[in-house]
Amino acid sequence: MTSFGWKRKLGEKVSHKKSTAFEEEAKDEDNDVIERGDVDWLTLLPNRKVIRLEDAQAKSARLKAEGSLLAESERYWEAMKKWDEAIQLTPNDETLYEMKAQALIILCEVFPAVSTARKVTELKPTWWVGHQTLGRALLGLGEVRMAVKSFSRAVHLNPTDNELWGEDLMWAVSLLSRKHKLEEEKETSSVKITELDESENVNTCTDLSSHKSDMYSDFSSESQEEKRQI
Amino acid sequence: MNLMNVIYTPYLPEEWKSLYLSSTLFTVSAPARPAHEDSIWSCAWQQSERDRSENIVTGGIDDMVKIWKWVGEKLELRHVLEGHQLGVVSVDMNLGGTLAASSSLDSHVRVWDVDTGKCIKSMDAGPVDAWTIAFSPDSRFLASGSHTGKINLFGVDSGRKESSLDTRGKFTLSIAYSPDGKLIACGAIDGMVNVFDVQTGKLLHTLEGHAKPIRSLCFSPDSQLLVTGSDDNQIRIHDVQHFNSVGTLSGHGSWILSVDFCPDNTHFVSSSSDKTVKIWNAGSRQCVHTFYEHSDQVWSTKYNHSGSKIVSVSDDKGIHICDCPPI
Repeated sequence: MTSFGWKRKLGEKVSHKKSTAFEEEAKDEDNDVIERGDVDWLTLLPNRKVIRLEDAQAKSARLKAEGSLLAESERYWEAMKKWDEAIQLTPNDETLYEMKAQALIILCEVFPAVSTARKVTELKPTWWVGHQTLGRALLGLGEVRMAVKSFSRAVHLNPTDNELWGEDLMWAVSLLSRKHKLEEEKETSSVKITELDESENVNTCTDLSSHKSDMYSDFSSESQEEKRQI
Repeated sequence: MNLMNVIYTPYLPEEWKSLYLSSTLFTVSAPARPAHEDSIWSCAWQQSERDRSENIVTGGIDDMVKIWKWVGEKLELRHVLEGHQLGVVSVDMNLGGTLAASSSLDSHVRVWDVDTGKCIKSMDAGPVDAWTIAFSPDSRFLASGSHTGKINLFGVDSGRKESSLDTRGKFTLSIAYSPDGKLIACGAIDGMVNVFDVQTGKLLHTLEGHAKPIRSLCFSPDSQLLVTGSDDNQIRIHDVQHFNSVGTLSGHGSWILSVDFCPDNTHFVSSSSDKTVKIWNAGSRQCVHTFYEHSDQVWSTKYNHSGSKIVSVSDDKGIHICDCPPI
């Protein structure tokens, strides 16, 4: 039989003097003085091994997948909660911010969308999708000129994407030109208003008043007829 | 420190700062005030054959093309050329330094007179049908890549499309004429390099090697070597005569956005998304020097005609001129 047992003391063969010499030093370093009869709870705590089932990367990936599943069923706020959790774990993953920005755009949370999308382009300036999303977020905010810039950057990075070219850049450019046209029209129309004569104004007013009086007279005659019938 | 280049401008002396670098041979001048309102995407540097003035052309996302003059030790703005509706993707100058050409995202190609700043020709190439442009060494043609993989040759005098070469490939991102005028090389978005014979219009060779878009390529001054830079962070040197790969250089941490060969035929410069500009020795395939001056992606870099200086432009809105004496 082997003589192994947990009752056997560890420091059996070390002389008492030597072992206590170190104990004294160790005790001095500890701030909490354990009085006689007291129990050092810290040493008595069971030393549990914490087993991590997944590392940060894997958990982030799982949360990201969960988020995109939620987003597909249009539960954007819940999806964003998942992505936010994932961002906590992997703060440098630009795809998480990009998805969040897209969800924010759909929810019309324009300003957070822009700041989140900007974060994407800061994290990975060579990723054209980030610039595209930033452009779309800026369009939501009404910053058409800045949106055109962002789309231009995206096209410059990836000139082969037809959707980006046609639906984003060209659309934003057409919006800009339409705005210019409207502004021009506004200028010309304001000129027209100043051209109106006062006499014309008066004329139209009198016309209106005469109309009104006719209407009243009709009404009054009708009511008179009604009275007669009664 | 006599080697230090202190650079002043007449209008605002604080605008320029000079940086003393570790190797004592390289100096950098950088304006504190942005040269463009926004990112600069392209640049070119040539000496004018008329008055020997050194002109630098830059174009960026702010739709502007600017012509600068390098006088002694400072950069003066000569012309601001307006006319493009969208960002200027590429600029180039002819060998004589008298003409500048620019292409924008909306596929308009414009040719400018460097001295007067007037637009000589404006060509509409159709949707996404002009990307990087390059003057032929005799200044008669402008070559430009396009969406379908075709290379369009525009006549500089006629202002029209004269002919086209078909790569049967994908979008042509980059293009370069060989200095002897015999070859055109173009790099596609799928990483293929096609080399054409200009005279016959025949496709001479297709070089594989890069798996990602080739954003820049250039020939050596003796037209013997072809250098390509790609999104896979690598630079490849090809032998033009035998069409084989001579070497692969890695060192950049991100996409290679621009390469240009030095007139001394041994060195070339590359710029990258990792914000650095590197000078390489093509013979030993070693990096000779790295500039860390830009604070954002460096989209384009070029040597001057003598190979003594480098201009680089970046997303940080700045133009940097670096001294690089023969090593």
